[in-house]
Amino acid sequence: MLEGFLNAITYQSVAAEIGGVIIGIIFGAIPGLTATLGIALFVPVTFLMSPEHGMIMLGGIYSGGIFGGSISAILINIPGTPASIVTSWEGHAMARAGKAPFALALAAMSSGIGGILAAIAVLFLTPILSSFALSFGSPEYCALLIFSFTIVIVMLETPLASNLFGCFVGLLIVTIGLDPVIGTPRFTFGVVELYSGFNLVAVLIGFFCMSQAVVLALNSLRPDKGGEIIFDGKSPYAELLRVVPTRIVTYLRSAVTGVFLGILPALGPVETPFISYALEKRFNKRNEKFGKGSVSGLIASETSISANVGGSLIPLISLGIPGSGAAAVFIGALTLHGLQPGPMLFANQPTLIYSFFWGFLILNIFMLFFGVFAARYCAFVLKIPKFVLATFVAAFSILGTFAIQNNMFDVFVMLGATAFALWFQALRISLLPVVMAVILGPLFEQQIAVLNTSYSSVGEVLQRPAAVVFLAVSVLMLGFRLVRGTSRSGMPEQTEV
Amino acid sequence: MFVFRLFSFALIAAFALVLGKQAMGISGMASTYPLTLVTVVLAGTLYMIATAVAQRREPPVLTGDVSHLVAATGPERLRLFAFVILWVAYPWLLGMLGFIVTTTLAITVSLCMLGQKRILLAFACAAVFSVVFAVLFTTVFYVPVPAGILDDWLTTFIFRLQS
Repeated sequence: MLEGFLNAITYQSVAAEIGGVIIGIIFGAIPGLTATLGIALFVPVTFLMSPEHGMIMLGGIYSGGIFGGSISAILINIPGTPASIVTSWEGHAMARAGKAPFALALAAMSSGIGGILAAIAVLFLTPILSSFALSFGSPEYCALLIFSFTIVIVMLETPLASNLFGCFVGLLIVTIGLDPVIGTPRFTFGVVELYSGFNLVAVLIGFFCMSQAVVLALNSLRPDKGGEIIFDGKSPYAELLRVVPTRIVTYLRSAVTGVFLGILPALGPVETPFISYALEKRFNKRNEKFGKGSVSGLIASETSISANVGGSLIPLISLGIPGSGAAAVFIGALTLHGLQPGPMLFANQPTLIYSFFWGFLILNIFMLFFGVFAARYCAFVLKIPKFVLATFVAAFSILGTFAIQNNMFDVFVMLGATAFALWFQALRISLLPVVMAVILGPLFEQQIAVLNTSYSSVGEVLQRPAAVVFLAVSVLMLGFRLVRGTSRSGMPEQTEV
Repeated sequence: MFVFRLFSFALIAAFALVLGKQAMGISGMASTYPLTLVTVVLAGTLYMIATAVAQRREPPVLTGDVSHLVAATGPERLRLFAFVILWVAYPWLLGMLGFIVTTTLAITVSLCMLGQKRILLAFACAAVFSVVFAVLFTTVFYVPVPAGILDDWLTTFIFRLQS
């Protein structure tokens, strides 16, 4: 752990932390660009770095991107990322009341505190979960993967049948390539480049970046409804120092909510602030007017979002299970660096993982200070026209994909993935189950093959308590969702962050 | 929308059938996993088609960007289509014209097509971007992007400077 800390404070690591946070804040602040898009676009850049520095930079982009969304939410009432919808309710109300600098500084402070508390949770919870997962055999892994698929399928607002359908289509797509059992090419149609399957990062860039370029191009053709930037107000620091110490309970409640929801797949930064905000309204005893510039409401939203980002890293590193689209891209980045997320990663590369965790803690501290003192200067990016963004996101998507393996075939895979993402969006089939299936599909098939050769009957598998618990919870969740139907209100349909 | 959904699910079913036919040729237990998936996807497709048929008289639920696309005017859709074609053609053109020329042209056309009125400004930005990235790819990232005449000149120039 100490070696990890020392690695995280080298000048390369600090540069990765600072660079990642600033890039992330800029990406997040621009409406239409998301944290996931930022991470996916910068994965090829991490090849120039060691894996730990690359991961730290991507962590910075993730955290910074999520916070950056609050800048436009507060200043022009347009959430930079869908995660900042709740922030826009309270933050923009503050801005309209002439307290824009205070709203920005409070959002940055809350985001930083949420991230720091989550990073501490990551540092201590991940090794525990990882060592528990070391005892997993193929039955537990298969059951855990089924549990992960189920939780994503059940939690999304889109119809259950279409989520299930998307998951199976994703699983079928990743069977293209070499068969893990007998090692012969499967469904490759004679194309040699398909022997190793589709390049995961190329697919993810298609899903999250190039498709977004098309959406940006479409939006650039419509009249711009961008609101006026409200940026008046006095220096926020005195009020910030007065307010923050009085809201410790709100910070702790929101951070715990965020970390807990982050650990669960499918409850990402988009849904978390709604839940945290609802809890705050329920338990807050200050008689604040929520929705009209409530300090506690803004703190609850921002703290929980950042804590959720940290929380999602726990299952990602310890079990290899992504909880959101951004976490899925993280898995792709790790895989490209030759690292397989899961319990063995912690056992084999503890220094690398602790470097990343300490780096994540430090970058959140940096984000806090940068946000409080300098986030206002990022407001200039709100003026970048959408057609410029569309053009350069398209160019970077293609060039970034090519740079992964210096291979034009990957570019065509990425373009195919773009068409697929837009097609499924038009069909109202959520992309997250497909992404989960594409990432976890090969591992699932591998574990099923091991299970098939190691266990002769279902009875033997049912003697493994952890596997039974995962399967039972999966069945219960599916049953609950079927009984409850699809009616649920208060939370938005799953969108990418 | 109904026809689009029907055609889409039929296409997925056809894809699953093609894979299923190939999976039949895989020997022994290795075919079980893909064949199971093919069967489930086919069953899922039939369910989705049945749902689409049952809901055909209901107004289509259009969310976010899809509703923007439906609401777009003819010229707007044409420009969007041209944007897509431009960037799909870009990787092919890279091999023929080289990085600097293709990227400069693609970015200029893309910017002007989507709303930039000042063509010279768009061209200047695109040219600067292309040359800067050509230099970065050659000297920092070591990415062998397809080279044309201009790229070769630039590479020769950089190596002369370095030697």
